[in-house]
Amino acid sequence: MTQTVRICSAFTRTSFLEMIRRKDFYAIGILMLVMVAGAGTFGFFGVRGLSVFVRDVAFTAIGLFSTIFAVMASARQITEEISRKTLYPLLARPITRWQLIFGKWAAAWVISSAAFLAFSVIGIALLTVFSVPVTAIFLQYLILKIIGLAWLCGLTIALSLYATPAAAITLSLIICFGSSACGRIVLLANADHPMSTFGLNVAYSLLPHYDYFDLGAKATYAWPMIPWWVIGALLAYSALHGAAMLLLGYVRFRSQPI
Amino acid sequence: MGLALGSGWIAHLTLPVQNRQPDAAELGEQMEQSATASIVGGFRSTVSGYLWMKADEYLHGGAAMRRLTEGEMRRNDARLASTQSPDGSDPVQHHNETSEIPHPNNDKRLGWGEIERSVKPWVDPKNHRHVNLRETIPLYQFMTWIDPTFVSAYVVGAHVIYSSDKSKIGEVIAWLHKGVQASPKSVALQTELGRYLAEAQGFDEAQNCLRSAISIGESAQDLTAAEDDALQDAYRWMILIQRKLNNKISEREYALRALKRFPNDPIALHTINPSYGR
Repeated sequence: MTQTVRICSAFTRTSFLEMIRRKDFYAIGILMLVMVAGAGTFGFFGVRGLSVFVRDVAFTAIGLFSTIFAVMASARQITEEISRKTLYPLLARPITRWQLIFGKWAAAWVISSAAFLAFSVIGIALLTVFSVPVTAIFLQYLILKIIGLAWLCGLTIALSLYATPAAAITLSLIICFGSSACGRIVLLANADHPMSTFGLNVAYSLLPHYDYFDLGAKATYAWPMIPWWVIGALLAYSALHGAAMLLLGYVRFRSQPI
Repeated sequence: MGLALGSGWIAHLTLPVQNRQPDAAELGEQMEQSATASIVGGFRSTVSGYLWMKADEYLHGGAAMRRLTEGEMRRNDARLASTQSPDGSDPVQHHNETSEIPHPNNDKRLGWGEIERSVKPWVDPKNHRHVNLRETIPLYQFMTWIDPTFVSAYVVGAHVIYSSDKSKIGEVIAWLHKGVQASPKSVALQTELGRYLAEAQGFDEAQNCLRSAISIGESAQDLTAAEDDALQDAYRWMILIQRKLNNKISEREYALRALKRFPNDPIALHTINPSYGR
């Protein structure tokens, strides 16, 4: 266990340095800043009172760019080690393949969460400058998103072991942004032609639910905080589903010739 | 948002054509010949259309509504959407609408339903309340700033401003004047402006606007359903103003003109035959 923790922290340190060295984090941060600042400056053009709209843009930008960053960071974790051939010296050390996958997932999750928190700080700073308040639900928004990023990193790392990095990124983004639509389609189909309770619940459980980890809409409209059991349930979903994804990735990685 | 800002700024400063109603023949040609006008025009219509959908979402605090499916209409088992009346009278029914996320009574998902209703904005569709209408006014201002020819935004925005505070009728009239300036050939805008001028007792100016609306409507080849409804309203308002001013001859004249286009209009029929409807 101690060794696993040491491995995870070593990978995380390396990934942080990588994140600072690469330009994509700064590019995404600047894009987010421009987007939210643009929305907030409409007051200068005589369109005042757009606080809900500015919050909407801010939370959309934070969610969107955090997701993109997490997917890109996760897809690179193992595939870059393979392409640069740095995987061989890594596996020559007393590190098992599952520790490698787990460590890479932990690194991806930590840097994605750090990026998300950085974007949130930028967003909140801009909202404060424009005198747009946020309510207490914002805290739950942060917690739930970080839990969601853990699931997302697991999914993307698993996909990166079955497909090329570009395909893994594309599939992950489709799953993330399409998860809400998939749920809607199942519900509409059920509304039109009712399914059995068992069938509906099986169908719904198999679908990805990344959209459930985003409290941005509620934070935008200043809804009250949600029950904490919901966050607990989603934590359990993220842990089980994410672990299943990583296990699938491990099965592939274990049998993969390097 | 930067692109929306840019497109609106370009539209206002460098492309005067963007500030005019794009249904004139020469404007259509200009749109085809000028790539910038075409691209910017397409983009701003998309942004203003997006904001139009957002305004409906804002009214419900983010909760999404949807139309009933055919299966639901057949079975008649959906929880229909209705809005509480501010004065406590019967709720206002939405036509064949329900919430996108099902009500617990209609939701066979076990824990998933509760989770979704917790993490996403959701209201019981039956007898729900709208948020303070005034909060949506900046959105309509934004829509018309991006697209000065967005007629529906002016019409609905005027209604929202007036409903939220009836003392703001001067603001409503100024708002509609801007709309008419950008879309002088819009029957709906001329009618709405005439209507609010009449409410403010400015009957002379109201009549001018309503006469314009009727003249445009009568000479138009093909009106949309919304513009057709607005033309009918224009006739009605004109009839009511003439009745208020005791101009019996004009009242009858406009009633006859209305009946040529709308043979079943009750206000026009009542003017010609006072025993109608009794």
